[in-house]
Amino acid sequence: MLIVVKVGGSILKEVPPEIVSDIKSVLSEHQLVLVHGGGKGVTEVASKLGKEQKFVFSPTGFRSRYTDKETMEIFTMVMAGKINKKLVSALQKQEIPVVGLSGLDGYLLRAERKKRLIVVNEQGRKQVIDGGYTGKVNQVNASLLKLLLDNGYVPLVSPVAVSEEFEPLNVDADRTAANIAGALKADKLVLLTDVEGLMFNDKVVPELCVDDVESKLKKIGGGMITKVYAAKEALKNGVGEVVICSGVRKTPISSALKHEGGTVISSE
Amino acid sequence: MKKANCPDCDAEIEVPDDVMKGEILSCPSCGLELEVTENKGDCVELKELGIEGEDWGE
Repeated sequence: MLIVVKVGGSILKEVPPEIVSDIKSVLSEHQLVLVHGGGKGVTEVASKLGKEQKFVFSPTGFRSRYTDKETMEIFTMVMAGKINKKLVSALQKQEIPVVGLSGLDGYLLRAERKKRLIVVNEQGRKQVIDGGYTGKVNQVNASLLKLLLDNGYVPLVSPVAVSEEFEPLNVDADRTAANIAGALKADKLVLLTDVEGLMFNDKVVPELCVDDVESKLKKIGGGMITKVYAAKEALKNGVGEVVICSGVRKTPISSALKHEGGTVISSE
Repeated sequence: MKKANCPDCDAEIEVPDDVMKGEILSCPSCGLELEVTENKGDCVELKELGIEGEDWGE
């Protein structure tokens, strides 16, 4: 099977050894593409550099960093540099043949720059603001990923895409993983996070059909909204199933593949 | 409240006094989403919102 795994930034302060050993174990039977997040890491470095980060909210609840030019430079430095290379080192230490890439390399992720954003302002009213350097992935260089996979490498992708004007753009890592999984027609997409899965009434929902997701979207809060949208997009693009689960456990990926914990979202 | 008119159906729209340039209002008559493009004194100009859905970064 071909599996795309997104490792959330919330579990990446230190690279969890459980994830590294599980990746090695899963690789003995399957092909893997890894995508990482790391928004908190970007905020920490930006703060050390004296660049406080601003966050904005969309009318439907998406939260995003307001990415001006300076923030985009820090974002690229931390995502494609510090976090990506820290993970590459941790995986190579366990002899995993990983290749760290940003979406800029080999035009891996092309994105449309969001020139304007709709946000909810301090008065609670909708307002249009300049979009800064965020974008929406619209093309994945699947042949570059296949080239690596066919030669036994594990691509590890950071969520920095290239715009129509060849500028780096901040793109959401969950949606990036969904786009990659869709472009590769992956069998599964696993979104590892710091909670057990989708929660309703304080309980994890073990299974969910994508058609039921729409009706429950309004009750889903915070970062889960982007994961649910990512799941919908991946399934629409031919991915077999999506699992949202905790990355803070012993064998997070193997367990997700066996449906032990987490929320499995499928088309049926 | 200030007043403005929908550029599409000409219906009168109530605009909050502290409205800011870029804010989005809905026309109560035709439902069109409108962006405040000018806000000087009592003069508020609106145009149809030309922006697609949302998809943001990390």
